[in-house]
Amino acid sequence: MAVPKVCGIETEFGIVVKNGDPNPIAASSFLINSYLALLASERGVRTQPHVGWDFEDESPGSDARDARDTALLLSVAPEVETHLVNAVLTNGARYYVDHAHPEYSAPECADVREALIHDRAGEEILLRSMDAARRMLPDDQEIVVYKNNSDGKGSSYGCHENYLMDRNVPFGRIVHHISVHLVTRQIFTGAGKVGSESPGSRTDEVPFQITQRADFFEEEVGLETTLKRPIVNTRDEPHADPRRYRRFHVIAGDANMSETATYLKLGTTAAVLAMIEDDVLDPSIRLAHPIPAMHAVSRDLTLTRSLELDDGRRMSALDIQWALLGAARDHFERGGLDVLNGDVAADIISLWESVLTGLESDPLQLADQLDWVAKYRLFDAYRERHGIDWDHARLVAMDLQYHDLRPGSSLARRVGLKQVVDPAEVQRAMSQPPEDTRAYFRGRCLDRFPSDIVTANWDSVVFDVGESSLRRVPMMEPLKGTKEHVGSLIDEVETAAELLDRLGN
Amino acid sequence: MGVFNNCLHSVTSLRYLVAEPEVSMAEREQLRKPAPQRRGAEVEAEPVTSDSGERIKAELDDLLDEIDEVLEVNAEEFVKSYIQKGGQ
Repeated sequence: MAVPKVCGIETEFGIVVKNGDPNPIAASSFLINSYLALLASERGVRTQPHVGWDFEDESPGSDARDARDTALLLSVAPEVETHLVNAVLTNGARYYVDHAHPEYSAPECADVREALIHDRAGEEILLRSMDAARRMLPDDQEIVVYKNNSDGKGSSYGCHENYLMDRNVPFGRIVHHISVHLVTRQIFTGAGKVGSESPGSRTDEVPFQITQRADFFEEEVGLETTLKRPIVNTRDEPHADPRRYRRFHVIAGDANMSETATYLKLGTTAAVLAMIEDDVLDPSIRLAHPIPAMHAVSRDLTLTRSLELDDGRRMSALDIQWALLGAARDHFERGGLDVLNGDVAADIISLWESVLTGLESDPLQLADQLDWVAKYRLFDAYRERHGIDWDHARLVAMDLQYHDLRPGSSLARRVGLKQVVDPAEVQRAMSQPPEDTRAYFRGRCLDRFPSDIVTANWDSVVFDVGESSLRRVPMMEPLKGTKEHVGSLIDEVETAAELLDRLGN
Repeated sequence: MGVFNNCLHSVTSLRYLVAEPEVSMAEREQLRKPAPQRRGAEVEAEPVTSDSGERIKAELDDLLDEIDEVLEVNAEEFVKSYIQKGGQ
């Protein structure tokens, strides 16, 4: 049976150092430490409280520090450390260096609208980090961050989604239905890309495609995330009570600049997962060849190509999305999408329908809502005006620059994309946690008692309150530790020790 | 984090300390919007040239006029130097 769709997004950003040492690991550390130093200075303390990430249930990997690069950066800015940084923020997020990229893992949220707000807050935090780093670097140097998924040369980095699911649902049923959705949702989740990075394909064959990521997927199901990437990832790391929950980890999406695209990506996927948990989806809609279908959908700008199903029938991605929307509407009317938060579910269904309608009649009218359409429309007009081909360096540069987070340079900020959430909510989410998940407890404790917390991670916070042993607060239930549960307690107590005592009584 | 486990003996658990949520999901007040229209013939009839369509087109022309000032000065060099290590 469907459980509340607690969810969140984690993003690895592209990083470039202008006129400086290009080492991405040193640059990512420098970027994040600059932000932490800025926060510390705003709090009026000389050094930031060192609240690191607790790796108890993770594999930290090897230390990739490069002493030479570290020394170089330190000579520029002695007050900023460049070790591999791994911080927890007062909004409940994790901000760290992963695979030579700065990664922002937004806090777990109780509904997809809140998850969108926190994804946007992550962008603003990266932007402030760039400003902070710039002030520490020589005048001609700058660290620039891109919210995309590919360097255009065959290297990809991810934007992953996480959804809480009922552990009792057989994994086979999840695979059966979700790969259909992950392949066909590309028609609105795609961030667009000039050319192709599939081995052997040429730009004259694929001048422009709908998604950044499709080229990098080679399996339907698997554990990998960095090579032979699977449409359905089997990582089983619930970060919650493993007897009750599964964390369904989606690696097959693009990082979106459009709020509409992020909102729909999360909302439709949460709805489909709830329908899988409640076993109400038509089992006959199952792709015969998911990987070729994924590539085909990404390359079909006409949205008309039909995909072969297991039973021999053929349906287009758009037809399949209409079928999923129909099932979601029925399930909504039965109250089955209350686990998404009823208001948000109603909003998602209405937006889902309006976007499918637009894609069916004239995709270009969605140029203010979907990334791939906005990009295609701008690039195609630019190409025509200047009489250049799709593989021209200026178009490839524009493809990268669409995702530049700096407001002055970002093309995404210039194409007139509609906003879904209030910018004031995004500003708030840069420092405040969501109020209705355990992220509230994590974030508020870090805000109030930073010097008493040794480490934190998704499912626990470890305190050092001067006793002979450390004290660990496990949080195995994502919907406990909310403002309703612990808000007044955290407000009332004077010290972390008092908090722990009162929690224990 | 084994180092912390070794000296941990005091565990405070929210599971046992915090009451179950008093309001269940089913009881939560719902503000249902009317169910959206099913897919139908009106889809075809929708005119594309709405006001917002005109607005977007005018903005696109303006953007094309100014875009060269925003673009990276040396596109070829910029594209060549944009190299990332593979991630997840």
